[in-house]
Amino acid sequence: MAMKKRISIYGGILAFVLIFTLGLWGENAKGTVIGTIFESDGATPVSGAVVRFENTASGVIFQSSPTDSRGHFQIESMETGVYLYGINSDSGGYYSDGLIGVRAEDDKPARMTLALNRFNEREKIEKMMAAERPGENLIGEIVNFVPKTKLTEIRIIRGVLKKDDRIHVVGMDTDFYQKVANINVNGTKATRIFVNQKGSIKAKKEAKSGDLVYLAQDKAGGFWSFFSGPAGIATLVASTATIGYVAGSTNSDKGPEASAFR
Amino acid sequence: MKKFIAMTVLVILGGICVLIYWNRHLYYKADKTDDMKKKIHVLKQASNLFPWNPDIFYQLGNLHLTTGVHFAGEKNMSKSHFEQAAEYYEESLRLNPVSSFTHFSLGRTFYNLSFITYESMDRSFAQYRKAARLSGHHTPIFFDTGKILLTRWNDLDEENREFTVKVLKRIMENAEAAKCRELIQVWDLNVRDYEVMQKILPEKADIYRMYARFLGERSLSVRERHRYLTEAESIDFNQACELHEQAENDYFAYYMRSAFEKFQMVLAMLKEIEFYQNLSGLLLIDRQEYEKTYKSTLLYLVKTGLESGLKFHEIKDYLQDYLKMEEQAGAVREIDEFLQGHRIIGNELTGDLSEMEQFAFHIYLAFRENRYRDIMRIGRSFRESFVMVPKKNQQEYVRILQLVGDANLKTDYIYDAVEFYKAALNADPDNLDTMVRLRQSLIRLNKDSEAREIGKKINEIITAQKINWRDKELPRAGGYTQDLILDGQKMKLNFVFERQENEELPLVGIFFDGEVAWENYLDGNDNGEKAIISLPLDSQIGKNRLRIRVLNRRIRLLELNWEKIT
Repeated sequence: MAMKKRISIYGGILAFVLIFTLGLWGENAKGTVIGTIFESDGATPVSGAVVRFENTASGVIFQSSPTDSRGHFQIESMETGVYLYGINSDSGGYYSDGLIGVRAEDDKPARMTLALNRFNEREKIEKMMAAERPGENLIGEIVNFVPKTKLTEIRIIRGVLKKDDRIHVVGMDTDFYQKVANINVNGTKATRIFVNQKGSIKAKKEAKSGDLVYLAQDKAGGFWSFFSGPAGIATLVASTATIGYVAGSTNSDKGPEASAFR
Repeated sequence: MKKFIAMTVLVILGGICVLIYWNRHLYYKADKTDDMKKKIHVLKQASNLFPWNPDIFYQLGNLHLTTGVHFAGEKNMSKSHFEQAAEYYEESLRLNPVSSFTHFSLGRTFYNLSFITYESMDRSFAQYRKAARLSGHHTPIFFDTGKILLTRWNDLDEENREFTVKVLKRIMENAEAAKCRELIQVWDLNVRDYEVMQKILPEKADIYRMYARFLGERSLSVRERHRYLTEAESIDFNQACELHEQAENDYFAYYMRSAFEKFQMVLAMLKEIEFYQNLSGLLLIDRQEYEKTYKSTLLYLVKTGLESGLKFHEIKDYLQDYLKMEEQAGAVREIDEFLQGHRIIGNELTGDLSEMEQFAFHIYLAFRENRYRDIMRIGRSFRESFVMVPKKNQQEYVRILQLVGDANLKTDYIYDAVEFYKAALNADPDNLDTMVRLRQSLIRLNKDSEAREIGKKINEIITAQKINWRDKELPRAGGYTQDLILDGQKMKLNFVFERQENEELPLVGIFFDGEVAWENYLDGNDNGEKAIISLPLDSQIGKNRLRIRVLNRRIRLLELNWEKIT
């Protein structure tokens, strides 16, 4: 009787462990992601570019080897999850304007096609990049400041600005550090502002339009330290069913709604 | 009693109006607020007050979807918001089931959820389908839905595939080129079934060309590529014929300038046709019809050009090309009369060298009308007098001498023909046309040693039998053009390319005198490091334009050599 009880207890523990680990294994499924990088025409392959993915939940970074002459890259053992990504190429860094979801499957690689879209105002950005500061990453510029409310509109030119990031605002008459508390994008509270988007924060001190915003890293390295100067945006053009946009703009974000009540 | 009932009904209606008004007021109040929590609170108030407004629930869904998106990566937070968003969208659809935006947003919510909960995407897929059915064909929703359905092609049943094909066909008919290319990219990653593309692609030459180019760039089926290029050329030819008709109507209505411009467009369209049907086997363009249209276009260009006030030298190239194609003496006679009517040439064939260009043409027309005696008479007058020709008219003078020689040859005055050919060669010692004529005449007179001398000179002038390209590199999507001076005989051209190990095979196209002669993937298996293509081709006397194009990767050209086929 005592033996049976012991067996049932141990059996239960084993079952729990198995279920737990199997459950975990199912949740942390890994697979191969194969992709191709093209110029904005969707036809000219980009060789020598490196892609980086950052899992937004775990912070784990996956990096590809440089793309070959056909623009191909491959990353193995990538986990299922939601990712930020960026591409470093000879012409500069290209940043995702949103997040993508990846559902890794053991038996089938996920495929994607990315296109590099250059910023039109390259010259202006290059001038801004000339003002790089050691230990800090230029992330954007101030486009509007309301003195009464200290509401500051920032345009991100590189990477992504997140809540709780520490920034350094620098201009002719401006120089202060602060933590990013509340972010507002298109009138809605947000936790991030992606590249080429504008968002508002409340500044601690007065700033001016044209002031530069730097990301003051607490530690060296990190996802964004990898990239060179901002050249444009990397967009997901096509993919297999297990990859898709979770965040970022799609064609259908805006549109009027027909309703009997209007 | 009746008054009481009427008053009650009025009060109830009034109350409902007030509720609707207040509901709408709260809706706009929420719209003006930036604070998310306050927005949700106000909208919930509105929905409690009047729970039959689908817009309120739609906006609540949007707020939760947006928040879920912003918290993407924080699993529990985003999952909770997506689930709430789904509930609100479903409530909105219960009240207004025909809203394409709500269906699409619900589909997007389920799609996002599937990356967090690992459930299947079938729920999202069903909503996208409904959204597509309800939205207009030109809307972004329609495009996004088509793209998503195509991404899921392998999971669709027969009915859903038919639906997807209809959606995609509509998109392709109306969308701009970049959007069509996006869809083709999705097809490449998820479907790669050529029959699917056959069903989706609309009958448009530019779409067919885009698809064919894509197939080449991605090293896909060359047979499909040729098929679609053939179809594109057929469509272009039909459009050229329609434009030709319109231009003819302008001509008969005396809108000469407009007609001239249209005929120029027709000619450009006809020149673009490279006859891929030679490779695909689909003979969609009738060669005779093509040549007839081409010839007619040239003739009309001459006529409309002169009628609209252009000078002879501005249309002479069209006239020259037309006369090369025209075989009927009667038609040549007509153009002769037309030119006489416009005083480009006179009635009689005189030896007037003051307008050398026109005179050369006049003699050529006379030759085509078999007026050999008249031409020979002109030749005799040259022989009897001393002719001074300015350098700028050298070519026309040489042409005249050639024609006089030809006229003598036609009437079997071979010695006189040789004399005039030699005079032409004196004026232009490197003229291949003259040398070929002279050699043929010398052979007829059994003057073999002289003929051999001329033969040697011809060989010196025509392109060497071997060209070493010295590892000339063609970049991806690059081309190379070279004019070969040949003697009009049938020959076999051998192209030698470098072959690289472990690389995808390059797709190479070879074009000769404006038509595609060969296009396929280079396989150098038989020759180790080299890939060799051998092509039998008919050359023309003089310049022959050779063009080589590679689509999908760079390649090195090593050598071109050729030999005559006897």
